[in-house]
This record gives sequence, C-alpha cells and structure tokens, in this order.
Amino acid sequence: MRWFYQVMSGQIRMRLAYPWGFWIGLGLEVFVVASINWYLWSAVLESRGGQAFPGYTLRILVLYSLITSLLRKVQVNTDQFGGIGDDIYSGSLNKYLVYPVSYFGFRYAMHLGGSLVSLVQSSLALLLFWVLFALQDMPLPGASSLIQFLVLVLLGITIRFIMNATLQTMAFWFEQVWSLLILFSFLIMLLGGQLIPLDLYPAWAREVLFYTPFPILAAWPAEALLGKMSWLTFFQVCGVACVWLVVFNVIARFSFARGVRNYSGIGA
Amino acid sequence: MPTNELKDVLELTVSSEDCKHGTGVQQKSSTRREPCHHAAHSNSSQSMKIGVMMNGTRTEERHNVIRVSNLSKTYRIHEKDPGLLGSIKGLFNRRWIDRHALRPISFEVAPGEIVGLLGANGAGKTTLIKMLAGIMHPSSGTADVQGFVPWQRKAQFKHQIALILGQKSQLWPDLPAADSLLLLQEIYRIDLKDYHKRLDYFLDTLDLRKLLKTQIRRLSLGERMKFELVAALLHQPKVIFLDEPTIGLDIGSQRAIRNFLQDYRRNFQPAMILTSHYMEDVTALCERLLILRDGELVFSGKLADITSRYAQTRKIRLGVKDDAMKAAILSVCPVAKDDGEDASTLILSVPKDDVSETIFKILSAAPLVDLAIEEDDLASIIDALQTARELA
Repeated sequence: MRWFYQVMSGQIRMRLAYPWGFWIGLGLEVFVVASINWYLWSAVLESRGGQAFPGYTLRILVLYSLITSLLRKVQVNTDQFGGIGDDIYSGSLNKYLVYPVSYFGFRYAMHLGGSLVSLVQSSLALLLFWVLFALQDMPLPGASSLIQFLVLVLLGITIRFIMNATLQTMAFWFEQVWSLLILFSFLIMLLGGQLIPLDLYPAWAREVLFYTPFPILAAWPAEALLGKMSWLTFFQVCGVACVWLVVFNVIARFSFARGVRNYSGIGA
Repeated sequence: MPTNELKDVLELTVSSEDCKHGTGVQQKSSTRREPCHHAAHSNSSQSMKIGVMMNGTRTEERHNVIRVSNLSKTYRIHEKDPGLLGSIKGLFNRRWIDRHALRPISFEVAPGEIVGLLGANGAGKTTLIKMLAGIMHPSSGTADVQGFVPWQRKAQFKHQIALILGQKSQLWPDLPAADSLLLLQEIYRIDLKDYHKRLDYFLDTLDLRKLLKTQIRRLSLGERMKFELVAALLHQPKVIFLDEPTIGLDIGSQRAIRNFLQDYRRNFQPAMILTSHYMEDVTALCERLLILRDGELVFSGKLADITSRYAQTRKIRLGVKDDAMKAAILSVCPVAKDDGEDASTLILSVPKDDVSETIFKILSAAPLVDLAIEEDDLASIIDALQTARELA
C-alpha cells in the first residue's frame, strides 16, 4: 500500500503548491457564513423573545454553522463536480484503468490527501474564529472531543467519497451527473444538519436521521467538537457509519463494474 | 509431450509464419486458442516454446503475444436534430443508431515486432487499441494479450502492458516528473535498485536528466512526451500500445522518439502496436502494417509488400519541345494528357509491365526532350487504401 501513501502525498504536495486560492476562499467563506448565520439566528432568537435554544446560544449557533460549512469544504475538496464523474465524461479514466491498482483506491488516496490539507487549513481558521468570537460561550474542545471529532471527520470524508463515487458512476449511463451531486448536497444540508443543528429538529426526526448516512457528514462531527456527544453515542454513530460504508462500497463497485462495460473512453 | 499439445505447437508455427508474411486481409489463424487463465500462462512472459516433433527433432517457435480473433465494436449513439427544437424533441424521443467502429478483425503480433496500425480519423484505430489495453469491452470476438483477456483487467495483465496516448498525459502536471515516476515505481512494485537502473537508462537515452525536477506543465510538448514514454515503460512492459506518440511534435523531437523506440525495441523486444499519421514513423519503425478503413481491415502485411502489391502502374512524364512533337506522341499514345502545371510535359499512367513497350512506341514516333518514370510512393498508396481513393 505504499503507492496509496505516494498518491496521497502527491495530492498534498499539489495542494500545497497553490495554497493561496484555498486561503482566500476559506477567508471569504468564514466571513460570509458567519455573517449570514449571525443575522439569521439573531432574527430567529429575537422572534423567540431573545430566548436561546437549549445548549445553543447565538454564538454557538454561528460556530456550529461554521463548523459544518468547513466540514463540507474538507469532505468535498476537489471532488464536488469533478473526480470520478469527470474522469468518465472526459475519458481521463483511461489512464487509471491501465494501472495495476484499484481505481477507487487511487481516487480515494487523492481525495484523502486533498481533504487532509483542507482539514489542517480549516482547523486553523476555525481556531482563530473560535478564540476571537465564540470563546465566551463555548470553551475550546478537550482531548476527548477532539478525538471524537477527528474520527468522525475521517469517517465523513470516506462516506462522502464513496457516496459521491456511487452517484458519479451514473456518468457511465448519463454522461453528466452534476445535477445529481447538487441534489445530494441539498439532501446533506437538510438531512445532515448542515444548516440547523439536529437538536433543534423534532425528536422523531432526529431518531430517524440517526440511522441515515447524512448526519455523519455534518451534525455528528460538529456536535462532537462542541462537546455534545457521549462516548456511547459516538460508538453507535461509528457503527452506523461503518454499515453505510460497506453498503455504498458494494453499490459503487457494482455500479462501476457494470458501467465500465459501457465505457468508450471518448475524449481521450 | 502429449500428442495434442504437440499439435498445438505445430499449428502455432504455421500461424506465426502466416502472420510474419502477412498473407492477406482478415487472415484466419489456425492456432487453437489456449484458455486465458493464469494457470495456463503462469509464465506468460516466456516468449519461446520448445516442442519435439514426431520424428524427434526439436522445434522452436515464438508465441504471438497478441492474438485477436474477430474482434468488433459497435457503439450505440443517439442522434439529435439541430437547434433548440431538436434538443427539446430529444428529451422525449431519443433516436438511437448503431455505429460500427470496428468490424470483425483478426491478426497476431509476435514479440519484438512493431506493427503499424494506420487509418484515417475515425477508422477505428484508437478503439482497437483501447480494447487491447483493456479499457473498453468489445461487442464481439476474442483477444489474448500475453495470455490474458484484456478487458478482464487482471493486475498481472496490467503489469505487462503500457498504453501511451499522445494526446493525454498520465503525469501530474503540477509536480516534477521525478514525483510521478516514483509513484509509478510504487504502483508497479519495481525494485528500487531496478528502478534507478532503468531510470538512468531512460534519462541518458532521452537526454532528460536535467529536467527531472522541473514541473511537468513547464516542459515543452516534446520533453513532456519523452517523460510520458519513461512513465509508460518504467515497468518494462512486454506489450506496448502507442497511440500517436509523435503528434504535434517538432521534427527533432519526432526523430528523438523514433530513435528511442528503435533502441528500446532492440534492447527489450516488446511487441508494439503503433498508430500514427506521420509516414516517417511508419517507415522508420514498422515492419508490418494493418490498415483500417471505416472500421474494416483493408490491408495486413509487410510494409515492403505494399508497393509491390499495390503499385501496379507507373506514371510516365514526357518532356516535349513543341506542339508538333506533342501531336506525334498523341497519335501513337492517345491516353497521354497535358500536365496541368507544365505545358511542355505530357503525362500518362500505364501498367508496370507495359512501360518499356509504351516508351519504345513513343520514341519511335518522336524524340523526347525529357523522360521520367515514377512509381506511386508509399504515402500515396497508404492514403489510397485508407480512403478508398483510386491510385492515379
């Protein structure tokens, strides 16, 4: 598996070759997300007569939104509308098909490399924002919260990759799949708690969503970082995530094996 | 050796010879195909097979590393009427048509052989190469490359082939070539000592040492193509597919790549299939040609055989002094025509066996100022075969 490390490290080096684009994008995202959520949640709390939600002050709500927003950046990195679907559409898949290693493995290594760079950069931005803006309502996370967070982020990166891969293998039949990926992003916003903490959802909805793969992409890592997740819940969440990983892995591989029979390598 | 196996060996000899001499279009191999599984080809890199004939003499013959039988590919594509209305109609009613990219084709390639795969754009060259490299599934037929079915894409198969697409890069553009090559060393699990030895050979032969640490995207097209070759050949493949490796390169770079490929072939004896639109590539590298036209194999044979088989006429140019001389010649040879570019030249095309008789007839009618006899050049013949154009 040394090739996996080489691909990952190559991707990291490529990302580090052009760091400024990411920093500028990150700075703008922090500013826009924080501003929008500040005004949005201020209005919501004002309509409640200034009464905060249990466990969520205005600053914590803004912090939560920023965490989930940065998580999206970490999970998606370059694969939002590119990656596997683009390889199939453009014919770039040709070069990977002649390598004697797994195509998904190769792509995952690239994805992981990009995500790790994004994670480090996002964490630095988040730390700065936390210290300057949210420290008075929420102390910095302890070691156990950080461990939970990092494990869940890694699971989230992997699940997002394999879910995206499953959708992107549809490009073998439909050529363009970006509309499916946009739809998927909206589902994560709604069902994964990217916009609103799942604690604010009705209890039945939270219970149902617990068994879906969506909250691992946003709500669960954010709750872990904010110190709101017990170790029991953490292990349950990891268990559910692992089941989804296996399910999507099987679907993605099946879909790829079927689809590649239709592949004509056009464009290359 | 059991009798059946001996028969296979003998039959293979016949097939190889047929193939080497290129006895015609769509030749059928008499070789019984061996089952394509790993056990049967556990030593698939071995290219010689030794048999003992019934009378006790030993025979040696070369395994053909590529064996293709009736391979074809048909694409199903949808047609769309032009304009906005056509696009809207296409949403509800898609019209599908079958496009035969490659009609059933059979051929074999021996180790150390470079076969030129020629054809006009869209003739099916790249489709054939993609199928043999395992990228694409065929619609029908079979192929055996180093003992493997290519489109099953077994890892052992991939270790033995290389695909070089002149228009697509497999290197990481933002990293120096050294990084991409190190990655390939890991992917192909090349022993580090061997890797450095091979890399030294490539860097020296292609004069790339000083560019190893330069970002790929900062290299010229020719330099990048040289690194593409290094990347593709680092694992010493037994079968190499080259799809227009010199496309877009200047003459010097083209020559450097051709020289390198010749040198590489001499040293490592891989089987190569090369597509190119440049006649210099074909004449310098290929002993044998496969020519495709609209997905159909229209010629399979030695390069040298093309002119003897197809250049059946000779073009005769006659230099004349004045109109009287012209009239005299036309009286004995009415098929002669004015050369459009030069009013003092008549031109005619005759079967090659009739050349001397025709010239004798003309000289008996009038003295000539000049006389030239021309054979159709290779490029014209190949172009005519590719495009179904009649040779002049």
